[in-house]
Amino acid sequence: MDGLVAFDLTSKDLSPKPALAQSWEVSEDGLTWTFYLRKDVVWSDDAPFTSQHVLDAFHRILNPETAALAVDNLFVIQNAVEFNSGKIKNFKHVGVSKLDDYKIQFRLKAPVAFFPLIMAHHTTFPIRLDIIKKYGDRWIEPENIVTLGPYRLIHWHHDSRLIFKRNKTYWGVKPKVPYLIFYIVDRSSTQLRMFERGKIDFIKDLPSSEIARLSQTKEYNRSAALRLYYYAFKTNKKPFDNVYLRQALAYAIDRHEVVKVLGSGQESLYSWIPHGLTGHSDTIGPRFDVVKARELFKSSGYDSQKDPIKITLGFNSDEKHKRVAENIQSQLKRNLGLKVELLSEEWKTFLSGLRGTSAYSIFRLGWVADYPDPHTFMAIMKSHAPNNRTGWRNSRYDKLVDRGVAETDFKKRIQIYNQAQKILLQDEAPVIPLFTEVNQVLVSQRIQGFHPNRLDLYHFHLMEIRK
Amino acid sequence: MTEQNWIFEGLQQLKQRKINMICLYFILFICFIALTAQWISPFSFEKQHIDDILLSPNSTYWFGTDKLGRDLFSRVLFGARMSMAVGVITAILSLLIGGLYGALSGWFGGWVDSFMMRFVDIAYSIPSLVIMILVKLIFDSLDLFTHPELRALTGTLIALSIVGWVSLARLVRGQVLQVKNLAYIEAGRALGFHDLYILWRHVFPNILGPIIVMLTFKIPANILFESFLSFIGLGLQPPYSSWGVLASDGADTLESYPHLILFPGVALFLTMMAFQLLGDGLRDAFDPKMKNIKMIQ
Amino acid sequence: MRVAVKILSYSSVVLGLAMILWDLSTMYVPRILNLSFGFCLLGSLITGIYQQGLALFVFKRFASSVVTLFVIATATFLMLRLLPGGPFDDEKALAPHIKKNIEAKYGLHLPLHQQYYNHMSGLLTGNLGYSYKYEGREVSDIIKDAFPVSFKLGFYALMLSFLIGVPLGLLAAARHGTSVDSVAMIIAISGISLPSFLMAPILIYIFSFGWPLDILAPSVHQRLLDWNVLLPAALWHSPAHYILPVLTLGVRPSAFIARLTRSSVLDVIQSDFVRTARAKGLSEKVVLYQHVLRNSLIPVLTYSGPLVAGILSGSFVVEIIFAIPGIAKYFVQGVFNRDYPLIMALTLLFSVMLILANLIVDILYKVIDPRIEVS
Repeated sequence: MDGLVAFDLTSKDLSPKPALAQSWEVSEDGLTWTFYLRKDVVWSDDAPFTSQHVLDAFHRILNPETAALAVDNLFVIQNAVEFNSGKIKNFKHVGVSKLDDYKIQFRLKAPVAFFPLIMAHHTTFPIRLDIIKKYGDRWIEPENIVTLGPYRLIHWHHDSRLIFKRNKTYWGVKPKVPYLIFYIVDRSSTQLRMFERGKIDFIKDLPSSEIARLSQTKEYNRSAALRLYYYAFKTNKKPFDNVYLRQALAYAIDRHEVVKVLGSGQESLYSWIPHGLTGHSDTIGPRFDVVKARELFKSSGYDSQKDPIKITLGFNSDEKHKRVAENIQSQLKRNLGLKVELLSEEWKTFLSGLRGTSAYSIFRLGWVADYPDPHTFMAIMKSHAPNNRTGWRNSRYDKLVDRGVAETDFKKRIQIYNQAQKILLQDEAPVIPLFTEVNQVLVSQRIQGFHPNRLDLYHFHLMEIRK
Repeated sequence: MTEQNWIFEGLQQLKQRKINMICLYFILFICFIALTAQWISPFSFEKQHIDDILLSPNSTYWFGTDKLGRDLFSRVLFGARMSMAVGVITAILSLLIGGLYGALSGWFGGWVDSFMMRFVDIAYSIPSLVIMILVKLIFDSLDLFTHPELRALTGTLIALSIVGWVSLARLVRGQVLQVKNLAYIEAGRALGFHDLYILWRHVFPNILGPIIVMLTFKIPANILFESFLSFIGLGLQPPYSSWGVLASDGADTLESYPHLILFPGVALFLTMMAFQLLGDGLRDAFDPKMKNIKMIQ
Repeated sequence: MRVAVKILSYSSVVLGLAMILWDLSTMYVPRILNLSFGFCLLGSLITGIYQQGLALFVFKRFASSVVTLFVIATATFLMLRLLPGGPFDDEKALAPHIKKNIEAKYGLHLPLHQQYYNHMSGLLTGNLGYSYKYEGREVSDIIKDAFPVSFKLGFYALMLSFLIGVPLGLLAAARHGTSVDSVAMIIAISGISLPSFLMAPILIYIFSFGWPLDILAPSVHQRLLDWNVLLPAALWHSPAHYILPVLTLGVRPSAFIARLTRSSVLDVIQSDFVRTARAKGLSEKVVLYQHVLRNSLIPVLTYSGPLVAGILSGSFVVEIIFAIPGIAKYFVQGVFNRDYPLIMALTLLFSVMLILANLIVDILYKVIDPRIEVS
């Protein structure tokens, strides 16, 4: 499927390029965005694509009865969150409207400089309400589903295999590869076996012990991802209600060592915004400094000799998290003399432990960017954001983040984010960023046209098979 | 022939079979390793030597190292401890719960027996792995102990015991039913001895044979189930690992790093085999008529 | 009546064999074959039960099974609520009102007894609910897709274990005391001692990657690769995909059956009534087939109950390693996802299968030897 906007995978910063919308413009006050849609697009059942389909998509996804999960990106639209939470019953009040069959307009609550990037997310893709009404829950089955993308689904053996066929009526560049087959395989070792047997062309999940060997092969591709890996503190209970203690730990961890232990080319991260995005900085954030760490530790008033602090580090049971945790445990012991206990839990158990009374005082989390803009990372730590599980609240930080969203001037934006990151990482340190993740993929030699990119997107319609 | 003599005779018979004695010595050897693992391993089982990752066996690391640079030999020794702990403790727990349950059920008979056995029938109708997975998740989150090894093992032990007591209950009940109508039991009753006293002094020693045989088969079955759980991802928490965890971790990289699966795999294989052969021998030695005992859970 | 039983049972066997042949060649069995087999099987079972006078027995079993299933459903419902973590917890936390929307959609906001009532009445009417994880998919659809896969896997493993186990056991018993016997039993014990998750990668390495041929005879190995003869390493898309998973799943049960067959044959051969039969002057063949075989089958039959249970448990690991979309894999994923409707439906399904297996074993028991008192 396609959306109004797509990402240009060949450009370094993943700039948006027209897809279903051939152009867009924003009003002076930054609150109204108008998208002009292509007139030549047809769905795979030959019905013409119109702005009604975009409107329907927003109506359905924001409808509380649909109970869609990933709608928070759309809350920048006027009255969107009110409609989704049931405070407003009529969708007409939400800031999405169609001006005519090929013009759609969005009214925002506050200016959002990068709004087109949100329109590239799959939650905004157009839908066909008539198909959904006709087939009910089975509208996604291959015999019923329609698309306007480069490929359409022709076979789906649930949880095992999907087969896509080239869409003859596609509006864009005609795909060269006629069929795509996707296999659903849980274990990375099984995936690797299939790849090495020559049965498949792409695998994304590499068994960690094989990475050292695989990274030497021609098929290996690596790119920095827009994924952040961080540790967070529970700031509303002992011992990490003490800001000096938090800062001490932030200075006591050498990210390079952590990355070395993982050995897959992750990049050490000291700022909150990962590499490759506006606002990423190599100078912001506490750097590894044992002397400073010990000073801060003294200032915190804790003394590990007289009064041992009980620190529990929680993570969900996965080999990678295990490795990181064990390394952090040994670093904290080495550099600060702290004894940290590790607690590994199964995923859901871990998540439920993050709410309320969990046993852990530090825990790991990650974040995948929803769109290639720093706001997606900065917004996590706002005072009442659901993903801020530290209990830390700071209205100055919130205000800075809100200003950053609306700011269109590049330089001013960086300044704002520097200030915000300073509060977050230096002054208060409720979180410690560790590293930027990498996307690793094995691509068979016969594929041409694959562009490794930060969002881990695959534009199959732009690839071809070498003869 | 009194009860005590009969066990003695059985053990005598066992001594005569070379193969079974070899197995017994092997198992005792493994137990010894399990108890002394902390002192005899060259390295700590959890220490990571970051610069020595994934090495093949050499003079420093006899079995090679794993992906975190931990010495595999030490980990296999420690794995003996974890695996045997799981196998033996679960077997004992199953015996305590199941034995008591089955004994009481068989002894009282009548509607008490029918009622109690209904539960056993219901328990038999759910595949073991299903219960184990659910129970383990529940108990892991309860965090009952603080001692790290114990905490790591609790969920697994409880999960395996909850599944394991059932067959022991059936066995003990069946044996008790057989024995309770024998002459000297009746005599004991007539003489006015208390029920529990009769159970303990007369019934129990008589049925010890089949129980021991079943336990000998249960221990490897428990170790196997634990390794299944590890494979699915519900095994012991890192850095603790049984042979099951070690072997299933190594299974992924059979082609590139065979030593990771070879050593724990062989250890697991030999131990399981030893228990099987020992169980066979015990069964034959104690009473040839006991061949009807199911060989697995 | 006897005639009807005979006709129906023979036709079911024939149709069953036809189904197997069809499935092994194309992985698809025509609907009409399925239906006629089902009809004959059901017919032969019902008439057979009636003819043997077991109707009351079966009916009583049914009744108690219903009670059993009810208890299991309730117990599972409670256990799931005890599991920490909910179905919709995820790394990206949900805003509270979104969480409310979802809970309203799936009825999770209702009080516990109300949820329980809805769940139980749903079960009775066959409405198994929607999966929490697989959006829009009904649990019954998931089962419809996944059950045939697991069933085939288990069934072929079962067949394999009898086809390998019984002859091996007979061979060992016939050559009792010789090296053949010892070798056979060593093979059997090895089969029991090697867990499937160790055996699978080894089998894949040998039959899918062609080790050690790629080292010892590279040209042969290359030719095998060119002809695409080596077995697939995973998935379930053609009959060739059956081979490795079935082998992995079937080895352990085969080993058990081999040992059991051997020991029970040895028992029977040395027992009194065989000596009597020989003394009476019956030919060796008659003795062997009629008396020995029939009576040694009984312990093997006893084992069939746990055998099916063992295959069910073993399929968890096999389905995960070979990425086979069966119910065991769905169950494990369901537990990790806290997908309550899926977990409950599958738990009940497993229990039904076990109960049925035990029932069939008990019926066969009674048929073979009416004197046996079934517990």
